[in-house]
Amino acid sequence: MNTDRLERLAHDELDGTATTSQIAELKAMLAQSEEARIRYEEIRQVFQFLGDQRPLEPPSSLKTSVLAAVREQAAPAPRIGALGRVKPLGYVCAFAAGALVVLALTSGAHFAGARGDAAISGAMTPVRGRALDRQTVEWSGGSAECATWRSGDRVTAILTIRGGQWTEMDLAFDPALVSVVQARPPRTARIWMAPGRVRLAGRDGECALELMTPGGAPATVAMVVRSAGNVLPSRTVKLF
Amino acid sequence: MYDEREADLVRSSKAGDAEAFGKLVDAHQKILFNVAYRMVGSYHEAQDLTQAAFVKAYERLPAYDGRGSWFGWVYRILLNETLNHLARRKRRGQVEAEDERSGGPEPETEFGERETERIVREALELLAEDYRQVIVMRHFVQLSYREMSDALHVPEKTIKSRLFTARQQLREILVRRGVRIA
Repeated sequence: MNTDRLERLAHDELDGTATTSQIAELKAMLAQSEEARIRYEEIRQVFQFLGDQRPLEPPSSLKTSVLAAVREQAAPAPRIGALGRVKPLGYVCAFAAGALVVLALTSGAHFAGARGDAAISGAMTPVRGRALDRQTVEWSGGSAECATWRSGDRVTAILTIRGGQWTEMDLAFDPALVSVVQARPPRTARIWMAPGRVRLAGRDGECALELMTPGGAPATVAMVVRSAGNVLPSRTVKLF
Repeated sequence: MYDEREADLVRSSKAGDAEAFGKLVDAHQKILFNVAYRMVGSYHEAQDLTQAAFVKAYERLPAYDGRGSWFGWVYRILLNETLNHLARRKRRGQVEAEDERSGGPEPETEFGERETERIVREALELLAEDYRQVIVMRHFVQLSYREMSDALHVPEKTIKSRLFTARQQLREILVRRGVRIA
């Protein structure tokens, strides 16, 4: 028995690429030799093992994350660098006046130590909430983190960038499910906002956002981080 | 895989139409994600690599001349990302990928089926990258020889030869690991 010839014919036949004459040649070899039949069965089982592997569904946040990153390149959102220039978004206009007051009151607060179910404390307006999620992207030169807490239909999100490299942290969400009620101005970074998008950028910085999810909808935020021009692993932050 | 509709989507994407690019992502994300997953063995790493590949593809769209398929073009970007990732992992001494499936699909309830998948995944990780690639492309995402040749920039004859060797090595690995074959 020509083992190499048999194996090549068997691979082609099982792979669906053998010609009619090759199939006939293989059948003849199998008919003549028990050893050939055993070898063919071994090869068939390898194909069977491989055929039993089912493709996985990609995560639903993959497309959202990709589009969040490419949209920022296609049409950068308008920059707002200071509290007074925060744009009220959509139907949250009604909250704008109150938000400005709260932002002014909390502008000196330090949020870096907030963990777990601890209060997220502004200077004069403590907001208590249930810890929801904390997603961190780390690289050799620093990290970016988004942590969320819920209180009623409000979600507080603390965004933190650490490290000495220029870093952009983009959050993308469905504006029909999530809206930004207020944003505390970052201490050393800059923030941009548009419906469904928030970007924090800088070398070190921190920002507190208050989001609203009407009816407590199980919304998520896609978090994309770039540092020194590199796209880093994305994260999905839960708001429920 | 490459047709006029896709050519239109690529043209629109080049013009900055993110929605059109989203349709290209829709069309190819499953294959690319599965390729990345089978190459690195981690659900979350595969997600990161696929995302990075699509974002780089978008950034480099002006360089795509339309002579080959867009899939082949983006596939090579993913492949470079994946190979760089594996090289970085090797440098860090992380020999085995951690199968982080949290947030991924639910584990199978039937142990035997999951066990088979695990065995094949681990066996694949022992193959050289060239061989692993062709197995993934042919058996897990069902690409034709022509599509594989286009994506890898090697002749179909080379693809066929690599596949043959890859399956032979896979069989030997499975036998060494005590999998009963035939």
